[in-house]
Amino acid sequence: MILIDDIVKAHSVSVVGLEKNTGKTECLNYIIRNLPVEKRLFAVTSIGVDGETTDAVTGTSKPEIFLREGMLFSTSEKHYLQRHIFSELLDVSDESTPLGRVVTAKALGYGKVMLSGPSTGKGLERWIKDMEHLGVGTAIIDGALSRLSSASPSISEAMILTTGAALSASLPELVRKTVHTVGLIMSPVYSGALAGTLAGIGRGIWNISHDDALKAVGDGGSAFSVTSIKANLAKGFRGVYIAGAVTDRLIDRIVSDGAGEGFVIIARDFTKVFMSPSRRAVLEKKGIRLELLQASRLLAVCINPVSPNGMVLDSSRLREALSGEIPVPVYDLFKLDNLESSRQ
Amino acid sequence: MIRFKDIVDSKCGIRFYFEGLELSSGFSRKVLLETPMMSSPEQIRLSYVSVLEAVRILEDYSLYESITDCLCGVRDIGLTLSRLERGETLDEIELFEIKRLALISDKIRNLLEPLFLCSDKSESCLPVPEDCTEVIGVLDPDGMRIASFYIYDSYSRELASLRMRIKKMDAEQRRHAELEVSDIEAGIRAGLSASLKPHAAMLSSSLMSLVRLDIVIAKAKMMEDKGYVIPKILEKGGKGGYEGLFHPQIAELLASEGRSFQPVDFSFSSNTTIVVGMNMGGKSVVLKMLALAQYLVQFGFAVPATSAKVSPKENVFLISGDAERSEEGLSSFAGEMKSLSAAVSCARSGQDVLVLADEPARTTNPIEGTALVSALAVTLSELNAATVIATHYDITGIRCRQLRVKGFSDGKMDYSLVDVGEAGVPHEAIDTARRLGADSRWMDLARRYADNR
Repeated sequence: MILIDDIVKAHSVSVVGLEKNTGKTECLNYIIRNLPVEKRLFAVTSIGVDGETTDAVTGTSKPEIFLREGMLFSTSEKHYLQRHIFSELLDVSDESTPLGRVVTAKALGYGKVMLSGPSTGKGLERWIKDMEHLGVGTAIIDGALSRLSSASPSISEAMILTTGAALSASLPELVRKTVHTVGLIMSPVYSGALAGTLAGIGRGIWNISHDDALKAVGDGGSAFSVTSIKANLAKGFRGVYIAGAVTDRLIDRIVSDGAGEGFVIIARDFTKVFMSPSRRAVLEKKGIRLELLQASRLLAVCINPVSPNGMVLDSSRLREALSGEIPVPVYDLFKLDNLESSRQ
Repeated sequence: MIRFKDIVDSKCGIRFYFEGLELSSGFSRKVLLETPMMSSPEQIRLSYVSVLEAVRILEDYSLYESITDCLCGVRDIGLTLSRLERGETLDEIELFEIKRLALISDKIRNLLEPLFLCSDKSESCLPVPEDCTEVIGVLDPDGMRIASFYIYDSYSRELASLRMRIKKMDAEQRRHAELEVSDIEAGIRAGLSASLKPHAAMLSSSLMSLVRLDIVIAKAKMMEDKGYVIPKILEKGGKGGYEGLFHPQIAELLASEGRSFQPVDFSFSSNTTIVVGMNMGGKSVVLKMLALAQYLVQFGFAVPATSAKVSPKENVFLISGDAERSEEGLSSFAGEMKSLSAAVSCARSGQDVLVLADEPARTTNPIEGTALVSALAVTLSELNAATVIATHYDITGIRCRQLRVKGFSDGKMDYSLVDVGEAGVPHEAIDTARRLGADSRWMDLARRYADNR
């Protein structure tokens, strides 16, 4: 199975949903069921607190994660003590969450547990390192809903995106939104002369001149609102580097400052880009490029055709529509599982 | 009582020192911040002896690495230990914490053992954790010596067989069996907690030893890496002084600009010391260094100097006019006067104090300002307070020692201090302003007015 092979090759993979209930947990459970646990050590955790048994927003049941013997997992003290699995404690970290400190254990049998691991990007980075020390081959992160930060290439090496009926009831709309996000994730990587320099600049907005000279907009350090920027962001420049969030308002400003054909907007990575499909279209029309300093490796898109209110989209049509527009494999995990159980 | 956390953000810049310490455990940081300032010469001497003993650990790099590696696992488990002491039943996570502490203690005892081959352990000042063999016996029934924990099969035959059977059960049977398992486990945990209870106090003292060891190794490491020195500790009321004293943070800042810090020699006298010198001449830096060094000594750190003799004080006051108590809404003058009088009344109450005042009364008129500073110098002298005052005022006619920062010579800054006796205040402000590029008409006039006076 290609998806599993790809995961095994990566040191860290995050699974993120485009929206709540897009099948992230099912996706994770599917992955875990199929991991070669006898050949490689795997660890799994979840970012932030989303470990309630029922979904607080929609009231639908929220499945727990099923683990297999030999895997490592990290969760909060509270959820560790409530677990339904026979396991051996390996570590209690200093990392604390609203549900207590994060503990790491090894599953000694098959069972289920609610995951609530480190709640910050920094904490997650540390977790991945800690797992490496424990000999883990692949660390898998259950990314929190609408918090794509765990998928940042600065944190995890590869990612899997889940999308589904919960994102939109209309099939064309769902396809459009998913394709847009995938497009952002797979934006081209900036490979200009300044790549190394920019990687070291974590704050501010910077003009890039035609001879690749950098100039800070404002003091280059503080966070400022778009309206308070007095300098021109585009005219006379080759491009602009934005270390923080690339928002619709910022795009509008760059366009109205005279950016045109060949102008390049450089963002740190896709998790910093909050751009709507309409702005994306504007950029394309004007010939303005969006490039990323750091690329993300998107392994696959997994779809969940069932929405929390019971509405079901035609899974094969959805898959077809997405496959045509997305350069990575698209899977319907429910179908994959059915196939597998009928085979057994 | 002054704790480290009370002075860590003092203007003397001790935080830089604190952040540079290579502590292995986050808990040590917390404990260090809560540490009270020492003022007994004997206590300070003993703490330096332990730093010197810790240097022996640094001499063997693999030993140092093994020990700090173990210390990284030390966590604050005070709450768990107090629950144990009260006889409560601990959960699996708490039992794991205790097992980890016991294993670390044991490992460190073994690692330190060779150091005591040639000396008597009871005479050592190095903190050594207690013998935790019994605790390990309780929490490691299979003798694996690995820092992991679960309710082991060997605790109960019944539990072991249930766990075997559970693997073959269907979901419904499994649910019942799991309840049974957790009942048995709870019983075992209660039993384990009861047998660990008598060791609670010993475990607490082991934890504190590990933390103190971490701190003392970090102090020794800093001293060795940076070439700081252990001072000679004088009895109370001794004068003391420094040779080659410098300020690590400012030195580092200057180094990054390609300049170097000129170390300063300083000795306290029985009278108040008045430091004069031009603006930007390093007067404030001298006061900051003196405060920093004093605090470092009284918290048992090595000192950035080539040699030092220090008499411990009961209180240290570093008062600089500009930012004094502005958060209380007082004017700069009012804030400063309050801080100074706090220092004076502390000295008057009989405490042995060090007072370092940076340009006191600078914001008021020069006539009264001069009077206030002269009177402050005399008052603190009478109370035997070690006092250094930096000022631009002409202080004459009182018994005090005057030092002058050498200042500009041959186009270079010289921070060293020279004894000027009664020579008075140097008049360099106008020259300095001129060098800074001030308007020449303005400077010419200023020179003429100054000469006319």
